[in-house]
Amino acid sequence: MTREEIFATLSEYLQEMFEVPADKVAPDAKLFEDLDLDSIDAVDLVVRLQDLTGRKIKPEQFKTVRTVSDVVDRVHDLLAE
Amino acid sequence: MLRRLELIWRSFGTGLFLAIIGVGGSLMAMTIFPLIALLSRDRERRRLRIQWVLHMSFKLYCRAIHLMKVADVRVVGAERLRDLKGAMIVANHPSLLDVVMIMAAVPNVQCVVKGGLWKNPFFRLTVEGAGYIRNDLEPEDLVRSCIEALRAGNNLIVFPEGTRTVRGRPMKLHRGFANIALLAEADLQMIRISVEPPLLHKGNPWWRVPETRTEFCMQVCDRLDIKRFMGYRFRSQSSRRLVGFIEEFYAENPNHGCTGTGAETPDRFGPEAGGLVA
Repeated sequence: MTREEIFATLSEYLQEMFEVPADKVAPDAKLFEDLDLDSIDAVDLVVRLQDLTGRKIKPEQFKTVRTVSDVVDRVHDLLAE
Repeated sequence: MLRRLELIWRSFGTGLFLAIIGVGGSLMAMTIFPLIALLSRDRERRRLRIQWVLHMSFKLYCRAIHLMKVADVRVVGAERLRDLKGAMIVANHPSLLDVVMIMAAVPNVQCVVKGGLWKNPFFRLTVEGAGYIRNDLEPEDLVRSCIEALRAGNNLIVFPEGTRTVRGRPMKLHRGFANIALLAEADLQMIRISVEPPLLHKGNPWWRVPETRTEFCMQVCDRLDIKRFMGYRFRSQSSRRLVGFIEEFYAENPNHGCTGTGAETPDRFGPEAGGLVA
C-alpha cells in the first residue's frame, strides 16, 4: 500500500468509526485535539489497523502518534517490515 | 437580626459538616474500618460490610444536615434505586455532597476514587476494602476494573463530566463511561442533582452561603436500557450516540431537577421513546 492509499483508508475509518467530518481529515490534523478522539477510540483504531495490516501492533508503537500523518507513517513502516 | 443569625448558623454548619467529613472520615478509617477488615477475612464480606457502614454513615450525615437546617436534603424517586443491580449510576456533579447523597441512597455502590488515597495506609484499607477502583490505573485496566465491578452486580457511580459541573455552561462529557457501559452491557440509572441556591460549588468558598437555605435535591430519573444504543457497527458510534443523548438529557432544565413530585415528574422518556427498563 502506498502512503496515499493508507491515508485514504484511514480517512474512511475515521469518518466511519468516529464520525469525523471528511473535510477535517488532513495529514496534520491532531487525533485528540482536532478530531475529538479519546484514548479508547485510539485503542479501537489500532485494533482496526491490525486487521488492515495483518500485523500485531504494540501499544508503544502508537504511544507517540499525534497526527493523522503519524498514523500513516506507522502503518507504512509496519507494512514495510 | 434573626435572618442574620440564620445565615451565620448555615455558614457555621456548612463548615462543620465539611469538617465532619474530613475528621469523621479519618477517624473511621482508623477505627471501624480496620476493625471490619480484621473481623472479616473474606474479601467479599469485608467489602459489603465497609460499603454498608459508609452507606449508613452518609445516610445519617444527610439527615443531620437536613434536621439541623443547614440545608435541605431531598431525594425524589428513591424507590427506583431499591433493586438496582449492576447498573451504572450517571449523575451531574454540581456539589461536594453529590457522591454522599448517592451513597446514602444506594448501599451497593462502587466508585472510582483518587489513586492518591492508596498512599495512606488507613485510607487504603478503607477504599481497597470497599472495592473502589483507583483512577490512576492504566486506561485499559481502569476500563476492565469498571466492567468487572458492573458484571459482578455492583452499581458504579460515574460523573461523566469528570469534574464538578459549572453552572450555566453546557456539560461537556467524556466518553469513557459510555464505552464502559456498552462493554459491560450495563443499564444506566440517570440521576439529576440540583443545588438551589448554589452552595459548595466550584470556585466558591464554603463560608459564603446564599441568602436563603440551599436545597440539595437528588432526582432519580429513568433507567436507560443500554441495548437501545448497541445496534451500531462500531462501539465508537454507539458511545457517541449515548453521550449525545445524555448531554441532551442534562441540557434540559440543567439546574431544576426537583420541580416535580417524585415518580410522576414529567420526564422526557415517554413510552414512545421505548426500550426503557424502569
